[in-house]
Amino acid sequence: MALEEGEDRGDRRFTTAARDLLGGTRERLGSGGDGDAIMGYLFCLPNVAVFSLFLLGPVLYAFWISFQQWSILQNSGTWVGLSNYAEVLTPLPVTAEGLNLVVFTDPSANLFWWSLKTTLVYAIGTVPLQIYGGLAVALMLDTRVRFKKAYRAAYFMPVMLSGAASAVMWRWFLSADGVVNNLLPTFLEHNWAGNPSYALGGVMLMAIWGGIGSNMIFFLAGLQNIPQELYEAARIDGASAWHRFRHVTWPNLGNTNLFVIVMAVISAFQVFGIALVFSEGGPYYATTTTVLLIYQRAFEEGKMGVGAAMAFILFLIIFAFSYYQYRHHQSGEIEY
Amino acid sequence: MTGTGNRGELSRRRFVEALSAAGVAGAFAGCTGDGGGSANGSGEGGANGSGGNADGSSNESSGNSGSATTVQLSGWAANNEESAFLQEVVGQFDENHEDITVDYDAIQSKYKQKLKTQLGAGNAPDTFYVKGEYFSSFASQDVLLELTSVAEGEGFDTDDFFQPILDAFRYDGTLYGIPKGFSTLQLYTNSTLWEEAGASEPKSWDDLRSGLEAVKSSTDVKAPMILQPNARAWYGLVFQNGGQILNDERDEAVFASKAGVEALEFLAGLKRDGLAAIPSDISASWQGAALGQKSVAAGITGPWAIPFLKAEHPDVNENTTVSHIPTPSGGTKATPAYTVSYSVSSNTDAPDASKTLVSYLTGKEGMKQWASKGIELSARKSHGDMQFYKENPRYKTHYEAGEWSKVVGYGVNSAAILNLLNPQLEAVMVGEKDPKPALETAQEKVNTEVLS
Repeated sequence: MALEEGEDRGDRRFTTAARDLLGGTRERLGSGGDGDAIMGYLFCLPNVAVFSLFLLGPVLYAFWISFQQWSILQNSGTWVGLSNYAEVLTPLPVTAEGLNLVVFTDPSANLFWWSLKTTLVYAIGTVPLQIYGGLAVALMLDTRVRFKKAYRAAYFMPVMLSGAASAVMWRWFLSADGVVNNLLPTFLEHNWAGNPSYALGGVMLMAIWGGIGSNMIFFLAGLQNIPQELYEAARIDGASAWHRFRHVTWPNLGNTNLFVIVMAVISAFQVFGIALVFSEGGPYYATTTTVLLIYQRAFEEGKMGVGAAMAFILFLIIFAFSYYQYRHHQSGEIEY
Repeated sequence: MTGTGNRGELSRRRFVEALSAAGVAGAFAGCTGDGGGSANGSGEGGANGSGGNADGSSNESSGNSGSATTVQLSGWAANNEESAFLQEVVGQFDENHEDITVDYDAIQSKYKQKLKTQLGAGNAPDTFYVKGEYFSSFASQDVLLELTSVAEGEGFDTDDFFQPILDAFRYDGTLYGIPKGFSTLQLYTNSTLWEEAGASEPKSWDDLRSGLEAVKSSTDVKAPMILQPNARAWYGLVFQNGGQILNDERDEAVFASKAGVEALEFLAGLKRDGLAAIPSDISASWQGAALGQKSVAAGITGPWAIPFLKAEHPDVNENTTVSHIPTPSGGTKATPAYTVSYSVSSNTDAPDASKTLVSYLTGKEGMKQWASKGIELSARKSHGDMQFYKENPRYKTHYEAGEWSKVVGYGVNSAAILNLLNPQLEAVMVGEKDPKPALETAQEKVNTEVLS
């Protein structure tokens, strides 16, 4: 006890000295005045400069290009107003005559809406499994398991592989006489990459395999931040394993969950590399996702304005979803 | 205390100043570092976009070897040997032209994207490769220098070129590129399997079909033939059957004609009846690999398959025959061709020196030297008796088709047209659509969305 009191007094002395020192510094620099502000700005300057030059600047430039018929070869364009947006969005899924759902079922009607549907199907098929697969693996590896580090490394391995390498590998696995078909009963064998009905499934399988590992890491970090006292208290109150998960683990993973969901949805809406390498958007548009379509329009066909317009529409969709998730999370936040 | 405080204040202030300065310097270092990288990518000799007034040879002295003009040459290289060989050819040019120094720099990946960016930024190499497929989109935007003076140069002899190959680099009648070589697609057959099936070399579409039927019933190949589910082979068959892809004015797509539909029906029929497979059906990445693995007995591909088979599957290579693509009864000879030009940037500071280089590389001697190792076929008719073709008759088969070849290119909007056409052809080959409606859909989309 004497020692603890001594430590406590020592801590207090240290805190007071620190406060004095900071106070003195503030006075010398002009506390709350211009000095603080200038120093703050100077500290921010490198980051702001790099961010503005290499991120914000190009984004604003791309927004400007979305209103132009832009030639990358001549590095100039003609102002066309909203016509790039009109070209991308028409025909609309809803018209004065009613619903025009053919834009989602026939790629020849409007490839942007088709690609958006494909991206949405991909997101719905991959995001929950990536997230809750990652959570399940994290829960398993957060217990006393032998070879825990080896399992963690194994699950994290796909994250370290580039998307292109994964796509090439999975293309072999899923080829007509690949390892997947060899393991499946005959009636389930498919030419996964070559059949429009199954190609997107192949891309989704690849994404789930890659996504579980990265989400596992976030959930493991989240799990290790939950105070053990809460579990001890729950155990004393006679809570079962399910109740401990339901009432302690799950609410405490709220922030991790929000982060993982937002990142997984953004990543799903931006799927590009694996779809390009696995099946180049085909067969017959089966894996033409929105970002792949943007790439084709902008960089293959040279329609930079149309590509930029599509990119900003996609940005708005992702922003709306992320904002909704954030607000939804805030309304359900629990504080202990 | 005061003294200490002053020292402390001074020290802290200096620390903050130093930190800020380091941060700002770091930020600018980032900028200059990036810029430096770009500059290096576009011209180490400083010959590009910055020196001289481009108003004559006397001003083309931005190089680094005394008064010599530096010309930057860029392209891609399939492998190190190709790069080293071009360096050797360029070295010989340097020796013969004391007033010009060539700085050769190969772009190893994403060539077209990088070149487009460089052209847009005004720091493209002086001389570079341009593929026939996207040549028109470059020429239409005034980024290429016209090369009429090269063509009209003494002893250059443009009549010596295979005309379809040379004409691929004309835009509105003006020449903006000189072919550095070309490739044609031909029919590759495994003669052992073909003989085992008792089939002879196919001359017509009917011969090909009956030969494939014999291969199917007599051998254990995965599929008798491999076909890509895109416009590659179909492109040649359309012309063989009397059709066209675009009209003569190149402002309207006409490929959904009877000739185009029949050509696609022929290919789709082979697939439907189990006589041909697409790569994903037989786990092969391309025709050369499928032939090498003996998964198929036939495929339509280019001369790049020969070195591949020689290196990877020497036993199959010995028994691989190359013959002209069979024609329909009453049809004409036609084969898809791919060609690449040497072109000059309209923004070059060394126009005369660049033209001199292009003239040398595509002249009779320069092209002979380039084609002598089989890296590419010579685009000149007078090279038909070259020793290389006597010793390598399979290359000769590819070469002689230059006369009746149809260079693959769809005009100014080539990429946009292909992005509408290929998925429809793919839909046909995987059984999702019938040939006629698929081609009609693609034609209608091309005419209303691209060429309107």
